[in-house]
Amino acid sequence: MNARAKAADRRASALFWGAALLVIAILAGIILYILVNGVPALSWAFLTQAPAKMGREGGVLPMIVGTLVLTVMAILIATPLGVGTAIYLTEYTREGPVTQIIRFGAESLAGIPSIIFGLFGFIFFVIELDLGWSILSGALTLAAMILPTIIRTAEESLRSVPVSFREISYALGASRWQTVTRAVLPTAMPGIVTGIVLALGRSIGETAAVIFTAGSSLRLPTSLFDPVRTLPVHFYILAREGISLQKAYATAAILVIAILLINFVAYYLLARFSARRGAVRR
Amino acid sequence: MNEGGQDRLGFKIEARGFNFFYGERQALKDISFAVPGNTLQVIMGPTGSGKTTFLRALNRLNDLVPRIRTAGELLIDGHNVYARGTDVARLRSRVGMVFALPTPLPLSIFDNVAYGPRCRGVKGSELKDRVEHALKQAAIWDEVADRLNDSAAALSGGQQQRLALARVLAMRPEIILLDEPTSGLDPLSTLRIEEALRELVSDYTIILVTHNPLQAARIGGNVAFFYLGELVENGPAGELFTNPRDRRTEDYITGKFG
Repeated sequence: MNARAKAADRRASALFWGAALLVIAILAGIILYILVNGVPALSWAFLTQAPAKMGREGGVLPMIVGTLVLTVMAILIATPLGVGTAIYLTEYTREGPVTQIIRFGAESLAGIPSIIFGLFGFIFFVIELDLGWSILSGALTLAAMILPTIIRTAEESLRSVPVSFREISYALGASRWQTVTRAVLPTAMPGIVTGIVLALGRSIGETAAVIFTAGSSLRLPTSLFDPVRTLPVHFYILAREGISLQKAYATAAILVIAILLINFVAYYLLARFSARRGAVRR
Repeated sequence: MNEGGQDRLGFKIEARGFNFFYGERQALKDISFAVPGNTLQVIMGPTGSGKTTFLRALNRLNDLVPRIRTAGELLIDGHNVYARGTDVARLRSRVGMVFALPTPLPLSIFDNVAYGPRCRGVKGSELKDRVEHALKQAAIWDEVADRLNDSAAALSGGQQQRLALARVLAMRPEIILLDEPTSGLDPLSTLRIEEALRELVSDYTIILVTHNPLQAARIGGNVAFFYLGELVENGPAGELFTNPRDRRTEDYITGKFG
């Protein structure tokens, strides 16, 4: 290698290093900023009390409950649909117009801004189906929104299962269903779970799609037909209406910590899962 | 299906003018030959000769490929495997297959061998017995008996291929197809597989595909030579190797091509 090539090489590595470093710095900056501003206002009481005076005082217990229930519901609705679609696309059909239409539909869904989902959910679930501002309306809207993520990651991980596993399974007299459930799905599981976690992260932080469909009630919900206010909606309202910037930061800090926690737990579980199964990918 | 039976001439497997197409490309041309039960049939030929296609027609694994077409008949126990209404899963549990690349499923050693029987609803102590018996038949029991719950991925290549053989045997098939089962193995592992096969031939009809004339000669039995989708000749190894009838066979076994 001549000197010029070497110099170009060094410049390129410096550039890429710089880019990577910048990304990490931005991420760390945002997280630190929120934590520094929010953590001092965090307390046990804040986590376990209902808000008072529109959120100027008190805690965020109803929002924590609302966020959890809404997100879990959305995942419960979207996971069977999304994974089922992915299984259909990879295992039960060959490439053709139908698969292309489904894939095109999912990709288009992924590109739609969340506020449009909110509007759709409001018109369809809240008004048309008369579900009102409720956990159910919000969860259905969120499910539609995260569906593309789940379909795509599940499809990718199903496709990454070696063809030889399927051949072996069929050659051993397994039916298609047995092949899917006993050979393919277990192998693809880590990837599918990763997709669900991604979707979880997306729906937990979603604001626009939820504010129109789940409402912004400050009360603790008692049924799926009750309205809730999620954490992101809460701090949006706190900040937007100038109610309490301090409480807004504290709420944001809870959200950030929760998302980080979900990611850590998910990756820990994934690592354990793949370690137990031995070397999965070949 | 007429289980364990044979067709009227006493053949376990018989091809009658069998043709196979991948889309427009014809991979097998008018193949006719027969394999008696409880014998070892070697199919030898270079890459692209159609030998693997023939093997994958017997258990209809080629069904996974889009746009395939067959003509003629391919009979097992006198029944055309491509006849309408054939229970393909059932067929595949009667016609086991060992692949070229030793590939354990990402499961434990036990679960790998139990895979086939479990798909047919076998469980409990019968399952255990079958797994143990199959591992013994495949001459790998002594090496894995104390770690059946370990991941199969940790086994060596030769062990993985004997595990694949055990996985097939656990289904109690009537026919065992082996597609270049030793192509990725060292000579010693190859020998162990070949020894296991020699033991098995009294209870099973075995078809082994190889591109290696030396292996074909070593294993014995009948050897069929496939070339460019045609069956060039078929006969006892002793005859075929000392006195080939066709020039192409001679060229192949003497290493002029292939």
